[in-house]
Amino acid sequence: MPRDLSFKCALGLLILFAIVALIGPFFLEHDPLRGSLRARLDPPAWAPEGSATHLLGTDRLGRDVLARIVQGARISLAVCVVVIAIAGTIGTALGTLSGYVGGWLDRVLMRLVDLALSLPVILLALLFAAVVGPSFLNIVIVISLVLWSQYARMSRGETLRVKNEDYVDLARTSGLGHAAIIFRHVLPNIAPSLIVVATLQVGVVIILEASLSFLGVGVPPPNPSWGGMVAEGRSYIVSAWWVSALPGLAIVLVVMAVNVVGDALTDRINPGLKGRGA
Amino acid sequence: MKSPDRALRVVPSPETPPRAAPAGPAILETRRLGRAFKVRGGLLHALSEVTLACTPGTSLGIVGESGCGKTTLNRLLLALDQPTSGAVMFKGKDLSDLRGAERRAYRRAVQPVFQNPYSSLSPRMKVRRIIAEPLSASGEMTRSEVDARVIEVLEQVGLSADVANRLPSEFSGGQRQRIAIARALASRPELLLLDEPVSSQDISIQAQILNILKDLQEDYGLATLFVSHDLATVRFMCDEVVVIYLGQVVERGPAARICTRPDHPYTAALLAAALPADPAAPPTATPPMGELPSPLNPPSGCAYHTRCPFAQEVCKRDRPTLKETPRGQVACHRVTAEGWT
Amino acid sequence: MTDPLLSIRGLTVRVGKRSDAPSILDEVSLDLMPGETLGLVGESGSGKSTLGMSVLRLTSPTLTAGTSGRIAWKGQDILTMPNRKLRHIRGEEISMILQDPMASLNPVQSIGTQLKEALRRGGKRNLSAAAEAALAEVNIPSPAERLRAFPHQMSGGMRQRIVSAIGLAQDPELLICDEPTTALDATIQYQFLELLKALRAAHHMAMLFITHDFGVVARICDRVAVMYAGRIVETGPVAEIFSRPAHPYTKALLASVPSTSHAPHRLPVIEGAPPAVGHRPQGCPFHPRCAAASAHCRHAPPRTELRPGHTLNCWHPQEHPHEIA
Repeated sequence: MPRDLSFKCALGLLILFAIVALIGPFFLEHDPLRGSLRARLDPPAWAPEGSATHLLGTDRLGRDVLARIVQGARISLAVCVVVIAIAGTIGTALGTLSGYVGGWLDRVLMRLVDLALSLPVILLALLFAAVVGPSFLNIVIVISLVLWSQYARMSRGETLRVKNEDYVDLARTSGLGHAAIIFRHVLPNIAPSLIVVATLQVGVVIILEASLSFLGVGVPPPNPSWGGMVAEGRSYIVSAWWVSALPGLAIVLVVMAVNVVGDALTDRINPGLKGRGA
Repeated sequence: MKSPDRALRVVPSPETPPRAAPAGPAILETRRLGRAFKVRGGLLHALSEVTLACTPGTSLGIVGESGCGKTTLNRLLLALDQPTSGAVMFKGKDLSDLRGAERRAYRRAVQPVFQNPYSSLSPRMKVRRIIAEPLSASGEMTRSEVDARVIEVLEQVGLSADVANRLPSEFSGGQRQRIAIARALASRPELLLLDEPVSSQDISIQAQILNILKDLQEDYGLATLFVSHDLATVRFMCDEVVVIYLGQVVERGPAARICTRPDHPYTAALLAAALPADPAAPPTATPPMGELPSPLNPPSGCAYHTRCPFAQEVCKRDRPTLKETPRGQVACHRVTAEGWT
Repeated sequence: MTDPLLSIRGLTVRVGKRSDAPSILDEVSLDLMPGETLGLVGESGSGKSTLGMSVLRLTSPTLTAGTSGRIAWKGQDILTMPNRKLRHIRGEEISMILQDPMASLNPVQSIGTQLKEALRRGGKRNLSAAAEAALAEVNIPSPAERLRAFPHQMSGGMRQRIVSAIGLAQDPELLICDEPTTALDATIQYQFLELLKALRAAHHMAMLFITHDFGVVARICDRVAVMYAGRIVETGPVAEIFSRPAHPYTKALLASVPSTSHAPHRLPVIEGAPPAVGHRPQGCPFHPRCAAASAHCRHAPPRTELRPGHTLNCWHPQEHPHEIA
């Protein structure tokens, strides 16, 4: 099945991405931050004037592009993990509470979600950067501020569904408190849908991080970030395409892989297909 | 809703005993229980003036069609919902006043089994945890005691001990319902509230489940309240039957009598509609007619008069009270202690 | 003797084309005479609904691909018929009522629009008058006003009557009813069955009535075919099947139905559960649950005709032919 094949390839790519991000930097020959002005804008190894010293070439300061992509993967992954942890926790907590309690709390929280969805990410980040300066923290806060709402929406809807299942009523008749019901019955049963959201968000976070870094309000130089690298290389795009194109390719590949895996997970977790009576 | 107020206010006096001779103190009883829901366009009286009692060793059947208030009654008895009038009493105390140990005693003593075992078993919990939930909630037993109890109740419903380590999705509907019953038994309850426990099951499975439930009634002296739309299963399961129409009790009596010589025309219609598996069965004298009126705008007088072949002027005007007869209780103008008028 | 209206021979439906794919129906054969009502009764997974859908070739593509055998409608094989011809038969000659009336009605069109569309296809002229008459025939009060109503404004029983009115708009010769009363309350079911009986007589229709409820079968069917795990295990006139069931499954199933007229101490039960598709045993599919089973039962059971029209597939009929004479 071609669908299955693409899923496996995508999953393989993501695992590779994670491994590279986690342990890749330990195996680097070159320091991603230190360049040599003698080796400025060296082309990749396979190009006519390339050398094996810099497999993917060097940038305008003579820094190794491969080393910077590997180091950048680590930053992308770090942003993803931190953002998804923060946005996921806040969003799930508020969404679950909103769906479980209902009433005015639900109405207030859902207006808050609408507000979060209407925030212009880029403008917010620019504003933030103008006030506190570009930083890793800046990126994390701005992206989390927008993305929590998706967890809130999903967990609210799923909580409303689970709340009406008989096993929740049964738990109440067993004398379980609301907190116990939320932790034992609601959260485990809404978790699969939230995992799908989180998976799909990996792509969104990488793109947002890259965009913000590209605009100079993300990870501050000289730290390598894929978005920042694309930005740095854009003035040389004609003469030294690899400086921008290779980190750009990394972004495209990882985000595509994330979306393929996320879609496949959605299909698999889709409720109602398995184990339900007529 | 042009009927005079008087017609709506006629209710049995509170002194009316709930049943002729209760067999000992009731585990759970209702006193003129009512539940109205606020909806667009007014109040929906899902249940009104229902008085009944579940006593040890007896089985009470609640019969009615969709929208009659069966589910509302069940939720009130389980304290999943609060009444808007009257009360549910556990061993003489109002449910809403139960606190602490008393409330835990109620939760332990009264256990439900719902209709749909696909919804009543949490899909991500192993059977052991599902069954142990009522036990762990009270926290009085050690882990090994809980495990032993889980295996014990699984055996009582005809399942083997290895079921405990599996997930609900590995079981068929019939097996799931057995697991749901095992769960209800775990805390050694005194009363089982069975809400249509077999109506989503295949015929050959229905008989298995009904027999298990009857074993439990007899072997352990469990009291049961059996809610159903089907008179035949109620006849098999219950000693006494309460028939509900549009949230009101219309007739009550021994199951055998209700299913052979019903007093209320609605009960007679239900009986006629319970088609026997016998093509030679004689045609009924009281075929069911008409549709259920909107509960939001119930008919004046007797709620059943719009569908009743015997309705007279008085039935449209006055709401009948629940009267004692030698055969039980009935709310019908046409029936007196002696029989039909 | 007249020819059967519908004649099914050796109908096998597999999940997919391969010959070793699990089967939903196994070598099912039956005849339906003009004006006759045949009940298909069985538990969930017995294949009764698939049989009903197969008659109109309405099964899913995977199942259609795995269908073999012959379904002759007035002598013509439905399975090999060109689509154009089949479309002509659907609705015009064979019509269907399903369990959920909401699924058969378009929620955004008025009852009148949907009914008139069916009547127009049936070649009726004065559509408004015909639609009113059709609603009146299914006992809908004040039909003229009801034509403007939408499905969600009606009760379940009323919707099911509308679905029947639409199904009958083209005067079909066969009405396939798939659990049409299962979602209805008992008192409404009773009235709907009475209505179907009246319609059957007025339109001289044959009916294929699919249900799990023996009470419904007893009420409305002339003949009954009992299905188990994709096969017809016993078939015969209703009176006979109910009074003298000979297949152990039919006998045990009938005995296990509670009754309002008497309450036994315990219900006789069939142990175990019906096998799932793909897990059906060799030979007689019922033998693992059968009290009368022997070693023979692992082989395909013989077909016996106990009396004219009363046949069963069983190694151990619960009644021997010579006892009756």
